[in-house]
Amino acid sequence: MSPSSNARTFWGRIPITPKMVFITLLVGVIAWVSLDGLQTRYQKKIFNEYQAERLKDNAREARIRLESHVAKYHQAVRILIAQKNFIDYISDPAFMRHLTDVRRFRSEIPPWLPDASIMRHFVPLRYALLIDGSGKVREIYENSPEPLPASLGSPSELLRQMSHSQSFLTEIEGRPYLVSSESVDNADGLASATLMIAMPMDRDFLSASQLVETSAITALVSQNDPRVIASSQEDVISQGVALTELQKDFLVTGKSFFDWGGSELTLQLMTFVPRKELDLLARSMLNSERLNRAITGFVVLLCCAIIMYLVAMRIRGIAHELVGFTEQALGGRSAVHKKGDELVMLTRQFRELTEEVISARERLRRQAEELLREKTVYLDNILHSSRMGIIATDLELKIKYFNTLAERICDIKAGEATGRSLGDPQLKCLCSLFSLKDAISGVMEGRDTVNTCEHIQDGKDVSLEMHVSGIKGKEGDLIGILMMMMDVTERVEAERELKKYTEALKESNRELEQFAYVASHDLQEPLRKIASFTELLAKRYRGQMDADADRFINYITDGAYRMRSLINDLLLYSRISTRAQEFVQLDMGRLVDRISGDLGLMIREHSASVRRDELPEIKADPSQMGQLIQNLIGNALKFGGNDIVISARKGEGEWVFSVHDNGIGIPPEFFDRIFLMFQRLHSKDEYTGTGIGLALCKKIVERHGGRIWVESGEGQGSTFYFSIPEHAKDNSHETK
Amino acid sequence: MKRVPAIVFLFIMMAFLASPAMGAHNKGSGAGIAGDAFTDPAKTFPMPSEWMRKPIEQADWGKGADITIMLEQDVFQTIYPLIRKYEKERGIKIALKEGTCGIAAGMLSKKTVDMGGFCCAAGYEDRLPGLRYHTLGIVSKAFFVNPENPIDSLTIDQIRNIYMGKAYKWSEFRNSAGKPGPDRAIKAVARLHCEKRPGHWRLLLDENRNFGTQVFEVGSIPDMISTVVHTREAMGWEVLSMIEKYKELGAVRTIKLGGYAPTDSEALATLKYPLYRVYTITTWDAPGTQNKKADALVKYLVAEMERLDPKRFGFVSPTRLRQAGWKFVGDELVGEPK
Repeated sequence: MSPSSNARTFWGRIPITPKMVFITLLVGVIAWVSLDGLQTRYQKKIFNEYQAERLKDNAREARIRLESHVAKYHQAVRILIAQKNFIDYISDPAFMRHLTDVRRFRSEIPPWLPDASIMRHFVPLRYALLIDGSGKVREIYENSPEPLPASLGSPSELLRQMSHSQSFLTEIEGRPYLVSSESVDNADGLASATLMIAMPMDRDFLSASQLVETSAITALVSQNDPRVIASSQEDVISQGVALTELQKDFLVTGKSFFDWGGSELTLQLMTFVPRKELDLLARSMLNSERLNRAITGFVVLLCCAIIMYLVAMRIRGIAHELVGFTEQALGGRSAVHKKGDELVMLTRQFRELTEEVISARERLRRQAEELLREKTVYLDNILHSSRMGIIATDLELKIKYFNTLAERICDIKAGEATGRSLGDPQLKCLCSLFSLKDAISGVMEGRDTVNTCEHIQDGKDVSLEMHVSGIKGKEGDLIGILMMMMDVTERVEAERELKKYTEALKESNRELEQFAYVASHDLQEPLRKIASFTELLAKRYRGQMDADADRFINYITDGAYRMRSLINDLLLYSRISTRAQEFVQLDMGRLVDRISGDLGLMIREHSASVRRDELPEIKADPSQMGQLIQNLIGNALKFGGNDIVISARKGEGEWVFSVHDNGIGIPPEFFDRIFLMFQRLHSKDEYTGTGIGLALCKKIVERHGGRIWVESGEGQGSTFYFSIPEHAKDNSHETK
Repeated sequence: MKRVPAIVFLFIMMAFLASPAMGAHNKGSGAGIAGDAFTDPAKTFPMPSEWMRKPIEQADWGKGADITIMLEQDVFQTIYPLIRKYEKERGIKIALKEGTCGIAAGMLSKKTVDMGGFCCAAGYEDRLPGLRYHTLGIVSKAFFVNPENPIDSLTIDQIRNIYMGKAYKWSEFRNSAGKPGPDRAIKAVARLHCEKRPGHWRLLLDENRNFGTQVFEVGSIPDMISTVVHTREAMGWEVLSMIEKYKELGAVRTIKLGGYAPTDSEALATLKYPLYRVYTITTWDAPGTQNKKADALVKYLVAEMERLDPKRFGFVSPTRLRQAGWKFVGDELVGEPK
């Protein structure tokens, strides 16, 4: 094993917590060191720019001070020549006498100038010349160890003119000088005397101009081959030093000419600031900043290290949880990696889990595909086996699916039909079936359409039922049109047959009813005659003939009466259809009360009572409803009932009425028979009747769209129920 | 009673007759206050004979050059590109330095340059024997205020009153929309350069002593602009090219003078805009001093001046000046139109 791999192994085995804290500290220190350098450089740049800007202002102030200082010399000359001692001196004839010798004053102030107490508050004067009207220098004041430059001893006419009435800067014997002069004119307007002052623009002059000494040095620099001519601090910047040399150690700013035109010096005024001072200032500021940054950096680094420690601890926890999970999830297949630090463990475990997830996903995908394929085939088989022709289109009516039966119906192969539009001439069969346009419009509006139509298939006429509906997507949005065609030829035929039979049956019923009515009506008269004459015969000849004859007459009379009853009942039965009345709003409570009143005698004969609960109003034929209630109460009385209760309850869309008695009751096996015509459970000797009463009830209830049934048991009384719909419709119209 | 109008009339007539410069010189409404625009070209400053004999000895920086030139900084700014173009086209070497009128005058008086350039008309002391002046044109002297100051137009009399200390507050004036200026004391900034030369600021007030005590004097162009930039109440003057050159110092706003903008070169040509500077350049024509290459350069420069955009800096070329009736002697502009 190589040393580097040993180191890697060693590094890898260190737990993550100390490792992360170490890395945080290391990165933090490196970042701090690098950023500190950059920040320092940037701050230094900003500081220098700021200093340069500030120094520009300082230089401007220095320049203004110097220019003001220069201007003061001319004002000083103007003041001096206006002084009494000056006027008196030049007006003294003695002044005119000394024409040959130039009088010099070195240590004493000449009489034509104010005394020292005044002069010391003036701008410093180095040289002053008193010139007479002829332009000759008469007296010289030298307030300097250096004598007056020789050329100034006899100033040129040009110098006298240029210095007159202004501060004039010029070069005299290689040195810059300020020269200013003013004259006192005589009565003729000619100059009788001129006072000229001259100041070498040296260190003293420059430092006097600045009033206070600062670190900034004001200097005059020659324009060509720039060198210092004079500076306010010659011990720092001495005369003759090249500007290029100074630029290394000084920041140069405020460069300008003496720009008022009274200077012929090819000089520039400049301000120099020692870079050393700036650097010191910068260093002091930057060190302070660096200390601040160091403290801030340390605090931030410490916070980061603590955060990293906490994060590392959390990672450690997660790593161990993941190891546990992997062992649990993969069982024996997992090789738990406990070599290396927690991140290595996490990486390996994640890799293993990832591979497992990928593999599981692949398995699931294959299974899903297989399932889907099977399901597709299954669905396809279903659709192809369907007894319905199925066509599916997209919203542009392009065919997407065409099943086998649809192929037969439309006489086109699915492969050819798929992709065609429903309006394609090849699919003419569809267009001929029904109005596709209307059906599709209906689907678009959310309605399904069902149409039945005729079609020729395999040379035969067939009836097709076409369902057109929308195909909905997952979101419930319409994504296509589904057409299902079913051969309903047999059903249609059956319906036609049924209709035919129904019509025949109706006709037969009508004829029968007509027959029953006619028969019963027409039979009334002969039957009445038979009964009447039989009664007459019996009354006249009872006992005159033999006993058999009397008995036969009784049979005839009895038969005639029974026949009359039967005919009356039959007439009633037929009139349910033939004499039906319009349905009106009917108060069933009042109806029951009226019927109970009508049957009062009968009720009393049977020592019975009829009670009722609260009964509703319904829509019904009042006459038939009266007949129904009367029959049911009469029936109850006939079969032994003496406590009859009529009730009603609300059902689903209907009222259910009940007529309960405590009579003999009906065995359940006869429940169906009792509502049939002429069906009797007892002999006429036991209980009178024609066997039409309950059949009549049933027909009335059915005409109102209701049902009638009974609940009873032998000896337990009976309860007859009948229902009437809340909105009853006359069901007899077909038979009217 | 009848004698009073006659006396008044006589007084006016005498005053008129006693002011021969009026009309000939830019005295305007400030008659007696405004100085002369030009000096008499016939009067030359006397120089000693040894000076007269002295040839041109080029300054150290100009040694070996075909032409040595010292230009005042405004003129330098205007013609520097032309000179360099000329130098390149002709294949000659021109030593050129930027300075002030004083420096140019000093070098000419020492005979160390072939040509000098001035932003002012020649003063008496500048008229050295053998020195010829060539006018390149005139440019308007613009007055400007701090951009916060709403005043946008003043008459020449109003400006004179300001600089004489007779107007104290900006609220004494209104701008062209009728809005009064701020209720603040006026800070009039002056740069009284080239005091011994005619024209320029002396067209406003002839002498230094005419300026009020409150006037704040600065020595340089950047100080003038900077002071106005940093002082809301300040007002100053300078040519437009220098305002443009020092625009990094901050913004100032030029004002109209008598309703005319400083860029209105036609108003300047007809003296409706009455304050200006004269750009001149000199050559020597005395024996031993003449430089034919310098003469050729001057011709070229004078011709090129005609091509300058007059509206850019309110510039009027020599040709336009002649057309407008300005007086010339040779190439030198010496008098305003009558």
